[in-house]
Amino acid sequence: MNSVKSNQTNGRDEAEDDEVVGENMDILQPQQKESERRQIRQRYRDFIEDMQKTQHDLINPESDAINERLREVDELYKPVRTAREAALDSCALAMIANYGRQKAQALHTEFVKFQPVEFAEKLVNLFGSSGAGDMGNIPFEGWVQMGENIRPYFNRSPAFHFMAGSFEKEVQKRRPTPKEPKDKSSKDEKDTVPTQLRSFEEQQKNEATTAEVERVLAQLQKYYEESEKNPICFFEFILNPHSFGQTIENLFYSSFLIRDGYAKIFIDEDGLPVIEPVEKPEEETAHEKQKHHQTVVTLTPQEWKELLKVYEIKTPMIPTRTVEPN
Amino acid sequence: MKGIRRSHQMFIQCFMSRGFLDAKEVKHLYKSCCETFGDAYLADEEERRKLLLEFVLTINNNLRQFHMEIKKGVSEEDGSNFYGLVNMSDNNITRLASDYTTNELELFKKIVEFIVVESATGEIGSIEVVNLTEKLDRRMSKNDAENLINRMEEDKWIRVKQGRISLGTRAILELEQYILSVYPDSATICNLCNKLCLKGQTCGSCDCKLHFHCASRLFRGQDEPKCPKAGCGEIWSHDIPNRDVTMRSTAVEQEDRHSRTRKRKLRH
Amino acid sequence: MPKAKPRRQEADDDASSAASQTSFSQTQSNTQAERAMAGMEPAEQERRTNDLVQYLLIMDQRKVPIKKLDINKQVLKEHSKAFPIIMRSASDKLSKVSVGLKVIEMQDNKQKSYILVNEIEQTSESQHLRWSDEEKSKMGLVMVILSLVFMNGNTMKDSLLWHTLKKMGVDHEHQHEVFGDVKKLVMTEFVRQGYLECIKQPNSDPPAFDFKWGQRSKQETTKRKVLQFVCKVYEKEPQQWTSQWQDLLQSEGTPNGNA
Repeated sequence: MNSVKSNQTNGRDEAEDDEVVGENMDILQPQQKESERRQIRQRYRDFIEDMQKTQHDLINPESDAINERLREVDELYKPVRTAREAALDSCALAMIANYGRQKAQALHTEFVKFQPVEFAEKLVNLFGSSGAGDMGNIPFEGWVQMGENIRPYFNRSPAFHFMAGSFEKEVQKRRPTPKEPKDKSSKDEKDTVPTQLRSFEEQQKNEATTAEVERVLAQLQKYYEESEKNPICFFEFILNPHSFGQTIENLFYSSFLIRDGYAKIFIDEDGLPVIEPVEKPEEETAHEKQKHHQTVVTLTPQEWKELLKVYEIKTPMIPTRTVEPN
Repeated sequence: MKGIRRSHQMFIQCFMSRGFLDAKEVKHLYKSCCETFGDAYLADEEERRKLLLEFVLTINNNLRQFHMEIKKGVSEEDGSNFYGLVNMSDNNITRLASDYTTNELELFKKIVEFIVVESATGEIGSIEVVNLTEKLDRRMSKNDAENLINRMEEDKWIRVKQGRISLGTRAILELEQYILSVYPDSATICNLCNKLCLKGQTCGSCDCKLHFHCASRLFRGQDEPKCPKAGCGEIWSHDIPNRDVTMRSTAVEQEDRHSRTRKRKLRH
Repeated sequence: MPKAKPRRQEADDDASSAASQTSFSQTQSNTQAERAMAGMEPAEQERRTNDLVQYLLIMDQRKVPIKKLDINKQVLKEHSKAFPIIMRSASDKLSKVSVGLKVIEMQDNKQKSYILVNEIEQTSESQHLRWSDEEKSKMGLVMVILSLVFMNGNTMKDSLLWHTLKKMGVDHEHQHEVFGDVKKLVMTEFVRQGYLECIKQPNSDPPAFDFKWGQRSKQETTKRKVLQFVCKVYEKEPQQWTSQWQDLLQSEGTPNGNA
């Protein structure tokens, strides 16, 4: 052994007697202190122990820890001069290689990597239709079907749905019940029905009417007297040449007079509708009322214009109201 | 008071999410509740029916403290039975229900009012509904009104047939008390079953009204049906629907009703 | 019930009569709440509890977390101090006495709020619950987004989410025939309901966001269920998604299933 020793180590022969193996490594190197070599060996032992502890991280395909370990062991090897430390190094390297092999095996099983766009395309295939180019689409039915399919995946609570109690209760004032359906051309009555109708009917027995209906009745009675109790042409009575809206309102107010027996409409010898007031409406019984004929009257702006032309109406019989009822 | 089990809860939850079930669906549901949670499901039909009644009674006894109840409603169309989970209270909490907006509920109220007060047939046309929107304080477009009608039909509050809208059995079940108290003079009670009657037949000479199915039950087998109201006795001038059992409901339900009627007769 | 009883005794009576409240009182450290309860007639306690049950059921129509603040304002009012105890007994009633729903407190440091979750576990055979078409389509979209987020490592950048949704014809920059304003639905409605969390990335300009599962999603569904859905779409086994599979095993190991 001594024969291979270099000249450079001559002076320290006695001190190296316990070192038998590996001295040949030091041919071109200055001698290392034992304390330094012990330190290196300790570092290797710690390193190996630590690797054993963290082996799960090292073989996890998602982790980069094993490359980090390889870099660390390269660093550890830098000060190594003798065979004894080098043996520990090869031991550590063998472990890393082993873990690397395990990691590669784990990696091998992860052959599916999630691709969001691929997922979207698969959903379109299942629930929708592929359009031109890459623009797939899922129609309403597809989303509904998907929702039905995934319902069991959610522990979503059903909610309580009800109608009673969800809105304010408005108790109506008592009033006589109209038995017949009142199929009037509904647009015409739009703003006035709730208030006018109610107050009129409510006080019917006292022969009190709302201002407007009363006014129309007064007009009718006035013309009726003026014409020496001859019926008034219905169209002449209600048409207002200045306002289609007011014409409709007149039609509407007169319909109250008819329904409640304050006036009646009938067809004269010429086959035209005429209107005249009824003398004592309160004497009519409910039974007689039921014999009343019901009719739906429609009047379009076009017809209104034509009627104005035919009847040559220039001024309204019922004066134009200055304030529109709300 | 008997406690509630998971099977009861599954039953209640189904009512919550579906709102309204017919007799056949209830039987089916009861079966699957029993099977899912291992409750006894009896083979004997009569025994099973009793158990189902007891099952629903347990639910109602437990739910009453929260003002909820499973109640039976009868269809004005054909007299078949339906069941719904209803709210029995009217307070500032129930006002917070959010299935419909305040404005939508306002329109619904107007629809109810029209059907109860204005209409003799218990119906309203969809054009008239659109016209009703014009009476709302807040605007509602024609389109929104149509969407609302669709949603309400889906939720079974209303029934739409050939453009004519009537109140669904679910709505009548929940709103009967409301209608009777808000429109005491317009709302009519059926002479036979003493329940609110919107659709049905009216006597030609008095104000007596009968549900279609009540008329058919009352006049079954009679050659000259007469108004049942005391002191009237006028000839009933309507065609009696269903006098020989056909019409809208299924044969099974009809059979059900037949046997029930027969039983009732036997008991008397 | 004699009304002239001394208050202290009355409260004791109540505690012994209602077992759930007794056990609750023992664990309840909030002496303020106990004092407030003691100041209420038993019938009043019962009434408020039942009102609260009704309130929670009705508010659940919106599927938006129910705020403690609103519960106090609408239901408990002058008895707000009794909130912890009444809330606990109302939850108990919702779960055991009535419909089988559980009340979950949201983890939000700003203010306390609650959601209801079904206690009856849904299976593929569960046919008794019905969703409306609107519910179905929106929940379909929720499921798609939850799948994307989970499969992508529990977070997804908004740009990637929009890019992916666009492949299904759901474009956040255009009105959608089913969902209308997609961006609003996803970033506002789903977030408010608790299905999603949308976190702004710091110092991003224009602002960029990360999407994560919201608290309601963690309560109503699980990673396992969502992975099952993805597997159905791919016709694969869950274990084949190695990292997601590890993730879900890990999440099931922890008590709350939160990763």
